Amino acid sequence: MKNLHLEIAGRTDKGKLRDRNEDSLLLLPDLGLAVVADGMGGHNSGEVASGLAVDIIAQFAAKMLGGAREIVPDGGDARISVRARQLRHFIENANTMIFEKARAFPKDHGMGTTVVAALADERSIAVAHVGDSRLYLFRKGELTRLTEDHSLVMDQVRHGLITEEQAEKSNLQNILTRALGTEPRVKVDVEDHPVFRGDVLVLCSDGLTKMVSDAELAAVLRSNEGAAETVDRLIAMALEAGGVDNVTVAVIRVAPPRPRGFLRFVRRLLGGR
Amino acid sequence: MPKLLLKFNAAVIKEIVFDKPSFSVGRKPDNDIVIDNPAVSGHHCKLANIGDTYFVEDLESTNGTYVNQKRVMKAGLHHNDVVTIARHSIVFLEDAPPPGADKTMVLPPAAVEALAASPGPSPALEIVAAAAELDSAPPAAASEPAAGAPAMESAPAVSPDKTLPPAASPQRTLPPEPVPPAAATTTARLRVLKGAVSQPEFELKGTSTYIGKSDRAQVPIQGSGIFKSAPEVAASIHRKGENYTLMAIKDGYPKVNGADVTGQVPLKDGDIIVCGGTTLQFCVQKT
Repeated sequence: MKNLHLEIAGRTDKGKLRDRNEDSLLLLPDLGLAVVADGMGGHNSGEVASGLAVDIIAQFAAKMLGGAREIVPDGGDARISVRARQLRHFIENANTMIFEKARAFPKDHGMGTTVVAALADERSIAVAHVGDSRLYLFRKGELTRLTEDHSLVMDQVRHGLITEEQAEKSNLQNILTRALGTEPRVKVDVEDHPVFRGDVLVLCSDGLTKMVSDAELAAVLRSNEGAAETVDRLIAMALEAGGVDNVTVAVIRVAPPRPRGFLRFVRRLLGGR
Repeated sequence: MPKLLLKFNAAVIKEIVFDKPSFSVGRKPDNDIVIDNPAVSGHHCKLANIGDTYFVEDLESTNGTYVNQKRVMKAGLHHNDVVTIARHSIVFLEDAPPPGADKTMVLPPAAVEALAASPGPSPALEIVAAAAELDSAPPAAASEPAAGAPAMESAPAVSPDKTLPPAASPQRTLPPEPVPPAAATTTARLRVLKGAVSQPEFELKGTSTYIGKSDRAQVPIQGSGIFKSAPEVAASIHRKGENYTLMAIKDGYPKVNGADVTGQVPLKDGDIIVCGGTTLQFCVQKT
């Protein structure tokens, strides 16, 4: 399937203070798939974990989506779409592989990674995530966060114990309640969202969100540049603000609405929107 | 690059940057690190680096090479390991944070469940909440009382530079067992007052709920007008923390408390949402 109306771009940067880049990025524009993973663990295990996550997702996506026939895992939640179920399946498999590798090699013990993945076509998008990497939706000038971090501070915000502003300043931001590869099984949050022309989706690691506020992010998206330019600008902003952590950003732009005119008139005649 | 501290008893004699693939240690002057002491062999041991790993190798010395008080022939070196040669010692220091003090940690599932299950606030929770406000406090000080146990973070890594954003400060590791409990959980529903299509009530699960005619929308609605037409997706409700906002996908179509919505509006308990022929009431419950 060719996603002619989707423009996908992404980049990862080591940042200014870290020696290594533990983030991994996967972009498969032909399948409409974008994945950002932020690894953790001693020595180079972080990059092993995030690298494994994107590799496994890429392998499964190529087999199950890219072949002559799409393969759909049996069973699962009926309330979510087929694509969402496929995406969940990819991520659950990545979890198993990372967990087993961490168990087999003592040096990788305790490694893990966050993951946020978006599988988009022209009508809808399936979003899956584990950990504190995020997906934002920019629609009609408004920025909405479509993922909720699996972190201690976000749990507290959800329970009304602290405010969002307090959470952003908290010392406990780095404590996750869920990650890929740290347990034999993982609960992957998956949601379906309809997509409209002109929507922009941003996937990013915490290296962006801890450096660039939601308001600044919205301001960049309002300037309505191409996907690659948006990625470059956001990474540059994170680096300017200190570049404390690895920064990874992926942007999916859905082609803007066609000019109003004849088509719209015909649609209206047919009783559509 | 790692560093080596050459010590005699407790006193640091020399600081050496590990900038070569290997360092020989011994009494004779052709060594990289010369220790002039009769108990030290001519060529006593070697410290070497291959790729990411550092190790020490005994060169058949008379009195032996010890790593953390254990006699070794060859041993890997990690942050804070002490290589003892007679009464001298070499401390191996990694400049990168030692493994285990990595930026992020994950709570074990048992702790997460405890967090979700325990009712009401507890002292530990308040300390955690207080720690959240003290963004400039040294992390060790913030996490120790919360955890009720000494933080595992090595103290020297604490950055005195308060101007750095919190993410820049060294990461703490919170012992996993004591966990702040959760307080009230907020659940929100949409009650159908008029024009029900499938169910009379919808619980708002996840972060986003869509309202529209399409089968992609979780909350189906009836159209209005002669043709009973309704947008595929008319509006969406998004949760952020415990706050909900309604966003018009089709500007001006949804109405909240009688007013047309363009862009987004925050939702409050009891708000009336009209989409075409369907009227919904937004209800919040704290349990």
